[in-house]
Amino acid sequence: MILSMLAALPVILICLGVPIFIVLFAVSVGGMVALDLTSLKAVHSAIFGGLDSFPLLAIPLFILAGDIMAQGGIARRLINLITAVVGGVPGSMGVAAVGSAAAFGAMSGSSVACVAAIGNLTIPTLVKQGYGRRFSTSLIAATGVIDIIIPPSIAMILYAITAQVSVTKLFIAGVLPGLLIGLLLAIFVMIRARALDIRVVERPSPREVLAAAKAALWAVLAPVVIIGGIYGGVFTPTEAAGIACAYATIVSVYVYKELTWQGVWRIVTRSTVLIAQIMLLVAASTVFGWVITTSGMPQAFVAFIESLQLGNWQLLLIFNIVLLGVGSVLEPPPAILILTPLFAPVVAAAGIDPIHFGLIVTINLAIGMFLPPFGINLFAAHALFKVPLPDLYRGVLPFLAIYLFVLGLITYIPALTTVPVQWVR
Amino acid sequence: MTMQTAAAGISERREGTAGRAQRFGDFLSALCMQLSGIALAVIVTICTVNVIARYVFAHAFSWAEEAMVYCMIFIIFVASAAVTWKGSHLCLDLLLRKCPAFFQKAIVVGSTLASVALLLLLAHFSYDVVARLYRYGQRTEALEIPMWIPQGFVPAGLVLIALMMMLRLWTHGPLPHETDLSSEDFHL
Repeated sequence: MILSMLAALPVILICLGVPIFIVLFAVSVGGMVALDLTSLKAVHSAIFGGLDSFPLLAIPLFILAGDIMAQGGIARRLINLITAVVGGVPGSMGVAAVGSAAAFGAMSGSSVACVAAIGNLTIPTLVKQGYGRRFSTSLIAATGVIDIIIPPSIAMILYAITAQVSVTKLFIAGVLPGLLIGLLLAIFVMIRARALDIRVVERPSPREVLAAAKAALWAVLAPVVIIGGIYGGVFTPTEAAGIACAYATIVSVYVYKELTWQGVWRIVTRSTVLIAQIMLLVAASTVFGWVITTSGMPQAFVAFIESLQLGNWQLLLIFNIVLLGVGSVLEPPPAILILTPLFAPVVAAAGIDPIHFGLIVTINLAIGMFLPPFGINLFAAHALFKVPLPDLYRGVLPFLAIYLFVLGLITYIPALTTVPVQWVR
Repeated sequence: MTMQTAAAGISERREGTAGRAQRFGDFLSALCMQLSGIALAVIVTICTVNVIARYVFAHAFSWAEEAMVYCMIFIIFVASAAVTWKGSHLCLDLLLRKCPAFFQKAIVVGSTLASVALLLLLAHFSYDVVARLYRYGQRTEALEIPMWIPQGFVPAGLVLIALMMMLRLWTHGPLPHETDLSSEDFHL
């Protein structure tokens, strides 16, 4: 009875619009009192102990780095370079949008930022070239979530910390699925461009490509420093995020001269708001996770799942459905923080690789970001680019099919995520 | 309405006590963001200097990780006060917005008061732990500063958030949380 209440209460409170961190605190305190677990003083230790973690520091730093790169001209130069490189192929502007989202993903971990940054720079051109407003905006809403899958990803960091797996290994596992999605999206855009008879933009001359490359040299080095540093073992992900902030600041202020120190300060203070939004949730979820674990709920859940005698493929199918449903109404950070403590023991008991499962969680929640009717990227695209929601619901369907196809591959071919991790090891 | 204008737009300048409370809230929110910004800048500086020191001078600062993590905890609890004042905590209010206005107001008032009570309860228990650390004079491992200082960010932050919730309810009235997607502040 108490366990059912523990499960139902957060749903009711969340639906009533109560801030999610309050819901997590309330349910945790309610659970502690109802189950007579321990003194409420343990809440303090759970909060401080949960936050006293160096890997967690990567989240605020990647948020800041992404914001400085978006505002300081680094993201724009990367997009210009990608546009120049793919110029001349059918659907080049759409392909450039996909490539830019992937590149942006390699520098930050925030999806709506990606939609805003890439959409503002590409949608007007896409519409002018004849793709139509619905297709262009849907493309951006759907490609924006690559950001969550291509490392460094805030969602992955949160999963790694909650499930106690290596952040770096999870990042490595995310590269192939992210690139695969990017490739399939690009192919689809090219097919669509042919179907719409979009005029192929003249291939830029080598001189023009060289000029774009020269202008973007420092911008290209940003993802190189981040990814190379992490995978080369030079930095931890947290240090890479810190270096990315410093690098982006120096390049934006002194090389590109698109930000003043005053502008940097504005970005820094603004980033603290987003950092607090996410990290307060992490603080509350550490208490929630502790209560869930101590209450014996995961063991009861594991026993229940075992009693169903499901095969791993059925189990993963159920997880996919649940995660898609949750992901369409909750953003990845709260969804991961709430569900991982519950799912991780079941996954371990079933002998599923936690890194493999981490990718399944990440991709599901990324899809949830543009899954009709509640996907937050749809609302963002609607608010930013003034396209009616019903149009977006229809427009994202082909992209949804691509993501679901890759999700199926990743779910049922674990080697796609586990083998690259072994290679790098 | 953007989040930045949410605070300003929904609360036209008022006179008297409510006006003073609003100005106090604005001031406190701005102060929290500035202090958090300083802490974030400190983290970036320490992180960069530490990496350079390790690779160039083969020397890393043993206290660096601890200092950065404590700065992060400071940011979380102090900047959360500004988030509360802006009404920007992550929440799902689709159902709430479908309710009749009267129920919306009742739910927001009820949930705000309950949230404040919960936060103060947690702050009370958290303070007990911090006070014990203060009495024992325990120090952190690397920085060797009194342990009650970084741990004190937790109860102080919880009280600050509760205070901002009450101030917001008083000055802005029972409004649902604003997480306006068109705002340049919102980019999760």
